[in-house]
Amino acid sequence: MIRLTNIDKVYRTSTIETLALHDINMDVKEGAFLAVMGPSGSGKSTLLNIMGLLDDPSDGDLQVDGQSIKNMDDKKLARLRNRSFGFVFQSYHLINDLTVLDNVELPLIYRKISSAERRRKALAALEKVGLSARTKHFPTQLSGGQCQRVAIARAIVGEPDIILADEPTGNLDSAMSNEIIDILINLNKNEKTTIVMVTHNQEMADKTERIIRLHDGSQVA
Amino acid sequence: MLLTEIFFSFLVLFAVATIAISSAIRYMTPLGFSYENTWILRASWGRLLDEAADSKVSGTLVRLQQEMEACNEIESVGWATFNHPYSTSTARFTMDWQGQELESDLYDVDDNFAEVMGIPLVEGRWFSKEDDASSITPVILNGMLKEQMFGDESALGAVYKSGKREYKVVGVIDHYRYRGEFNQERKGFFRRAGITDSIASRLLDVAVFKVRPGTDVQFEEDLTERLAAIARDWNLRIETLEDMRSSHIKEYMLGIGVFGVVAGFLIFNVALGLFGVLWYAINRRRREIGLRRAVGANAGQVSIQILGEALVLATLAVVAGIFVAVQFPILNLDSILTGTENSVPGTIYILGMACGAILIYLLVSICAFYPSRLAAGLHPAQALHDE
Ligand SMILES: Nc1ncnc2c1ncn2[C@@H]1O[C@H](COP(=O)(O)OP(=O)(O)OP(=O)(O)O)[C@@H](O)[C@H]1O
Ligand SMILES: [Mg+2]
Repeated sequence: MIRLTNIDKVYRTSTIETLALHDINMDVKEGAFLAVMGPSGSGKSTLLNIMGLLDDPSDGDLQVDGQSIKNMDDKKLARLRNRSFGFVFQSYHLINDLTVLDNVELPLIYRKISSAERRRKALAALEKVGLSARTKHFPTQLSGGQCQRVAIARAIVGEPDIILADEPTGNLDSAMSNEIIDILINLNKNEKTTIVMVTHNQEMADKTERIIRLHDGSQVA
Repeated sequence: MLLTEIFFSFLVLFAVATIAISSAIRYMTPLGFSYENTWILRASWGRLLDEAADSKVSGTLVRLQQEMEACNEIESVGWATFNHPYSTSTARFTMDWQGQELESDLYDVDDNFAEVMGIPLVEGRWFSKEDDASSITPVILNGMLKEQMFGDESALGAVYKSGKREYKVVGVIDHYRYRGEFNQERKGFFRRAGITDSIASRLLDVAVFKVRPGTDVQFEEDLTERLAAIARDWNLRIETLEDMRSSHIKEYMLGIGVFGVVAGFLIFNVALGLFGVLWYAINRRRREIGLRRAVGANAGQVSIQILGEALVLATLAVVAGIFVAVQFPILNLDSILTGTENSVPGTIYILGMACGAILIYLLVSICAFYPSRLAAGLHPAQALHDE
């Protein structure tokens, strides 16, 4: 589903050059549940961003469903991000001016569907994460765990093929973390959604099928 | 804050547009007289009050006229008073008309005036010797005054009394905008006078005369000398109407220019502020923009969103501005705006508002364009990265 071939990522600033990823080769198969682990600064987020088309690789090739992204224009990339990917971030990245429902609807705004249909899908997604009672709230009125569940609802509302989660439980206590992980596991099991999750937590990682370990931008396992 | 700035910018642009449009329209409406090859002599002789001096003044004026008529270069000579073409002075006259006071401009002129100035008559005739026989003062109305006094009915031959004098309408003209291209037409009428009338002779101190095409400055000097020899201790000044016209236009343009520069400076400041605010807003909203990109917005959709938000702001300001702008005609503040006492027609206001609104949208679009491009160019990972 996603194939990375000889991926390098170099961050250049005026003073320093950081090799964030070096020669990454991997295959993410349909229906897989992967965990990405590694020390801070080892390039986990960078890897996820490149997989999810949020960042360009400096070198190497990325294929999504057998198609290289190299020749895709912005419109095509945006469409792919919209249809194929769902993101969950450590810091939720909800828009504070929008209600829970509006936040969840956001990806659907960039599709041609009616507002009634949008509403219906967003409510269904909130149902799945157990937040049907909070649709009119604003993000600032929610706990961290609730925010992350809204973010997951937003990630799944468009029925993506793959969910990329960057430390989704990084800001949560263990009870909350378990809830979030269970939601992800259920998604993987019931909806066959492919999931790639960055985590520092070995316990969480153990619940996945496969663990990819990074060190200084290189894959070590 | 920004809303109020856009709001005031709209009002300024509305004012500029209204003034520009009404000026242009006025410039294009007929003046009612011709200024080509027409010169003007202004004579002043100090104040002489007794009868003897009065006839002396008349005598001098007659001799001045004869001297001018004797010149090959001069085709015709007429007389007017201080509110001559391209003068900024006005003579107002309040008459009793059907039990009400009716105010209008009054132009005291002689029998030759219309011929010299090329004023076409709509109906009736100009003043002439045949009026000598009557004790009733003949007058010629302009279109606006005729309309006000008689409506659609004919004014010719109408006799009316105002004060001690009796007047008779002998003719009607269309326009006579003697104050120049940029001045609004006003109600007004010509009243017959002559340089030999004993009392009125003191008033007719301005001669207008048509010269042959191609007559040059040398003649102006010669003529001044020749006339000075006749009116020894008088002060005589000759000018061409063409010069007076161009200085009228120059002066008006300068006024508009100054106003335009002030308005332009204001708008420039608002544009700068708008640009800055939008720029700032985009930097503050990097995370949101990054997120929208991440969930599938393409660059075009992001820039349309930023542009759209700016235009919504502009619309709010314009709606508020229009609400205020429509008060202008109601409160008759329009005369202050355009410097005339007659109201500007409603269509010009609507045009002015439309122009103001279009310019605001243009301004906001231009100011929002670069920030919106900037937002569209944000890299999703980068934008989400920084807090
Ligand atoms: N925008 C950027 N500009 C410059 N360097 C960057 C940028 N983003 C990441 N880096 C560098 O790239 C390397 C990898 O960063 P990355 O965020 O992928 O690490 P990580 O494994 O996600 O770390 P953490 O566990 O702390 O989130 C780091 O050395 C980081 O400093
Ligand atoms: Mg990270």
